[in-house]
Amino acid sequence: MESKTALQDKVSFGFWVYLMSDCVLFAGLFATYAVLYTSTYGNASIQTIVDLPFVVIETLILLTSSFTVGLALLAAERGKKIAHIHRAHLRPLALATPFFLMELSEFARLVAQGSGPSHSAFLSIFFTLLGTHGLLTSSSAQYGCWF
Amino acid sequence: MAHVLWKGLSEGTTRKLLLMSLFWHFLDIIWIFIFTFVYLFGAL
Repeated sequence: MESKTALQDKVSFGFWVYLMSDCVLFAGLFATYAVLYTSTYGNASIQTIVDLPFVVIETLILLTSSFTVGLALLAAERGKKIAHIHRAHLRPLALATPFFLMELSEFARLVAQGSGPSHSAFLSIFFTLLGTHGLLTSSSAQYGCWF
Repeated sequence: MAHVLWKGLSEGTTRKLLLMSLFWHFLDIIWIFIFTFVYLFGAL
């Protein structure tokens, strides 16, 4: 019979393995992007589709959400009331929603202007890279709400 | 979060919160990479 701490160590280790496998996944996607970002096949290139102010807002939302995660964890470690921790943890998860919606609206804008993922190798990897990140963000936010 | 509400703050739920935040920060770092290499380098 395993002791409880040994089991928890295993779970934490498994989580790190998962995190590193995610790292490898994104490394592959970034490498593919680096190879393909000039292959626009006469369609939209990164210069024409980038909307920097829009992306800066997305970035700020995500950074704020990461900051609130830190605050929530501090609250948990200091043994604050459950309701307080619950509220503190819902903030970063709530911030994931506008981020995800903004990402979806960017995708919708690109598809509407005829730059969908099927139009060039660059657009394929652009949608894949951002889509993978967006999917992980939204699904982990939902998972975080329930577990 | 539902676990914390039902079971309260135990060693197990605190660890879950820790792992959750670890993953969240990881996703944030990935986004910083995307922002820098895809958008910033693309716009310049």
